[in-house]
Amino acid sequence: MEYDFRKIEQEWQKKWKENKVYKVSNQSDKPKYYVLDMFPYPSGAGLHVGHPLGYIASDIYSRYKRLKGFNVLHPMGFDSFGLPAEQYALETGQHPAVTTEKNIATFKSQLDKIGFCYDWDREVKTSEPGFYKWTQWLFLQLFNSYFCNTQKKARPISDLIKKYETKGTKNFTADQWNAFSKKEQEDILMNRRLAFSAFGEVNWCEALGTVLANDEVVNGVSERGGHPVEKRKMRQWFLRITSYADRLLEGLETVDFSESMKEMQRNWIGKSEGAEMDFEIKGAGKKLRVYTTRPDTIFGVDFMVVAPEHEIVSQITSAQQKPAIDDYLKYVKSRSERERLAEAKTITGCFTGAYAINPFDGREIPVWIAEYVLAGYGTGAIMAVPCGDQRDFSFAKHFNIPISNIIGSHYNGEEANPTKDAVLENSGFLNGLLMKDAIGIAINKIEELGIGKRKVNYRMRDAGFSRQRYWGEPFPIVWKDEVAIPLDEKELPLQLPHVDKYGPGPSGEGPLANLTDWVQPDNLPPASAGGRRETSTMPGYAGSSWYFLRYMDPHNDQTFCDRKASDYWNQVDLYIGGTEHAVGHLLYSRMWTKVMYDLGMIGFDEPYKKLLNQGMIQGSSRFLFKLIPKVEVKSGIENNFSSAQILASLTPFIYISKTLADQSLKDKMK
Amino acid sequence: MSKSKYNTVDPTDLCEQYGADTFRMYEMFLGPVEASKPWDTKGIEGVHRFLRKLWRLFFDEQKGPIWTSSAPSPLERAGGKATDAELKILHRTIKKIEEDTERFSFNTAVSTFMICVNELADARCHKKEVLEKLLILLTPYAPHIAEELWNKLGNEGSVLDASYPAFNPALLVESSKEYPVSINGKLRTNINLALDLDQKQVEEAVLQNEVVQKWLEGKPPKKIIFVKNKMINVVI
Repeated sequence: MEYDFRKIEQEWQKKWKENKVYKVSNQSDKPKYYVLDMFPYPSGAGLHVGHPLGYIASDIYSRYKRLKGFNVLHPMGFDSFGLPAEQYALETGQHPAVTTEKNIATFKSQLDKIGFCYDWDREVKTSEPGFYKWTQWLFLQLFNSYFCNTQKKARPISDLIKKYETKGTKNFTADQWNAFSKKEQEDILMNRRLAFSAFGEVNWCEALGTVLANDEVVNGVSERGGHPVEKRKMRQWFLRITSYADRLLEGLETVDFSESMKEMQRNWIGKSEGAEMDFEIKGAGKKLRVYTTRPDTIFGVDFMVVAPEHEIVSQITSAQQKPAIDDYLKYVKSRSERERLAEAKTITGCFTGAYAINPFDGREIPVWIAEYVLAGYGTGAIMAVPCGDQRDFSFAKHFNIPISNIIGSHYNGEEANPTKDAVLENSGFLNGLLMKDAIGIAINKIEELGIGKRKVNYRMRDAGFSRQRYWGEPFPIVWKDEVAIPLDEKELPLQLPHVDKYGPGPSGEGPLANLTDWVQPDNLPPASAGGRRETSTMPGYAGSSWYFLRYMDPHNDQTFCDRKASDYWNQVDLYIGGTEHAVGHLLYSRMWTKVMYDLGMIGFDEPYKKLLNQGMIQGSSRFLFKLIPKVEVKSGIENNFSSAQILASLTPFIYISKTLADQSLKDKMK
Repeated sequence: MSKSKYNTVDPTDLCEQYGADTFRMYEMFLGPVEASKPWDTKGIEGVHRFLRKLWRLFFDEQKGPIWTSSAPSPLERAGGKATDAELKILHRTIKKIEEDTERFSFNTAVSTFMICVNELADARCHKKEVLEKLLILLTPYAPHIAEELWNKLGNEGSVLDASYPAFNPALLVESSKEYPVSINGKLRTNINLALDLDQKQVEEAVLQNEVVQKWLEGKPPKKIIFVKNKMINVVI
């Protein structure tokens, strides 16, 4: 009797399906275990050999845990909103809903052929109204919450309103608040909401008449067509993830992620402690506020760099320097944020003609603008200390700015030395102090003189949450008299209307703006009657920020996930996926989880207990260099493999992983 | 969620050609799951041959079923109980698979299975009580063949509902040892002795040995040096 694997596998896959062998119940006496894969984006290309690596690993572990007596939740679903389906629609005219459905069917049949133990009854698709109803609902919870800085947690915005109405705040009294117009009140509240609307910069392409994602901009021109792209301010939605910066950092101590993964998240959050201080601008009657982590180097400041977008630039630029500054601003407009930060090799900048005054020794410091300083980080201005910072050093050398030495022999004149262990010289009241001791003394002095204060800063910015696109969740928001009015829960889901054309709407709005009947319907409730719907849609990461909860209770039409179900399944015990989501999806879903926890919707504040990052599989053997060492291979494997084969399969990992890791980071997420 | 340029091989084709179980085990065999690696189908044949070899512990192409049971059903062939050596192979595997799976070291688990099947084949072990446990261990990795053979052995229901075999450390403890025996420091023979023997019992056993007697030529030895668990040296 022969091993007829085709027949055997087909029969068992059929039996498993018919008998629902992998059906999982929320009621069990057994201990629970939750194994989750990062769900795939159902691309048109279908599954490739890289996908199953993580899926097989999670399937093995799930079956193992089941044999070990656990009630195992091991679901699968699809992250089915996103850009590629829309781009495909633009090219072919096929509706994204149609291509997505087709792609999902292909994925599922491919997955089933590998024999995974998914409970398909729990499948979720982020683009289905039954799912995105709750994404919209959760957005409304974020919209209706604020971060309480005293309790360090999210609270209902109604608590804040009550406080304003009865006690007021340091900026206004209760009476003043009550006298504010509706618009004034809403503007103040918008500054506290966890999901909020504000003006933000977007990549605007005039030729295509559309806003582009960062990925679609390459070297300042559009990826499609090569048209020029510039920055433009537009109303956008954001998540106030910066409020959670400290909690996101602290939470890392409680989860089992690889150290490199934790480090990526820490760097992204970029917490630093330092001082914010004001410099007078000579003869302008203006002050320039800078943030520095090294106030001990205050006597080594040789120039200042201000972000080109900083509002002070136009106010302080001298008449003589104006033409040069204008030219430089034009250049910067064509550059994406990523390019500005990434290209450290080319040094660009322009002198404004203005001077700042060092508050400690009265020295005049030239003020420059340069693209590497971004408006959104810190105060959008830095004090440059060339003897202690390499980028400042290169900048000073490039533009022939004289360099002061405050660290004696620790500075060799050929490169900067970022040490904190040197004894300060030429530093006024800090002379003779060890730099690391001088930091605190300098901050105290700054506060004493009333020219600045101690300040914690984060590199992370609030997360952009809207896209001028079609294939995403519509916002349950109506704009009326410039006030954002949320839809009532009963009106959810706000269905994504069908369109026949996927081109952009007028003046940078998304395709939905073309549907006038949908944008300004007759049947809006009284509160928003006469208003206009928000026409942008939510980003690709909206649904994936909470999907792991929906698997626990996928058919519930009363709530996003019954509390009993989330109490039972609790955290994901094992989460498997690639490292490319380190600072995107993983941070966003951690934040949403914390908000839901704060608002009492779930009982845990970290979504994933353990994270396992599978590597990439590349279909080329070009990485197999002839470096296979002569090693004797023992054990029974010999019968089946030549030693060369075994080594061929084992040795590459030693030396190719770096290349592949670099490459994988460059790969598009979706 | 991500997509790269070179890994566009369709897994379905490989499942069709070699089977899903082979594909699953081969992807794991490629290396540590956290490591990035090139895709290369060269070794997939080897994994496939391993599953065929596993199959042949249960079935012979001509003779059909060849497993034996110490308490056979009317349809089964009778056979003896598993020997210590066979149980040792099994329990070494249970221990290693459990450890490897717990620490997500799936590639080493796959080679452990290969070693186990090779050893059972060499020992001509077709005993149900050993093979059945092996199938449970294999289920997470190669679920189809495990279900099929589990079912063929006469079990009802899914192998996933079986309980994971318990590792018995006592079975891995060595009870005897093959001692090298030297005469005046030169290795002359080996003697298999129980590990709990004392000096006197060892001396008696050594003096019974034919090779040692030949060298002694009837005279008593000057001294017998015995290092427990190591060696024996007869000084004449």
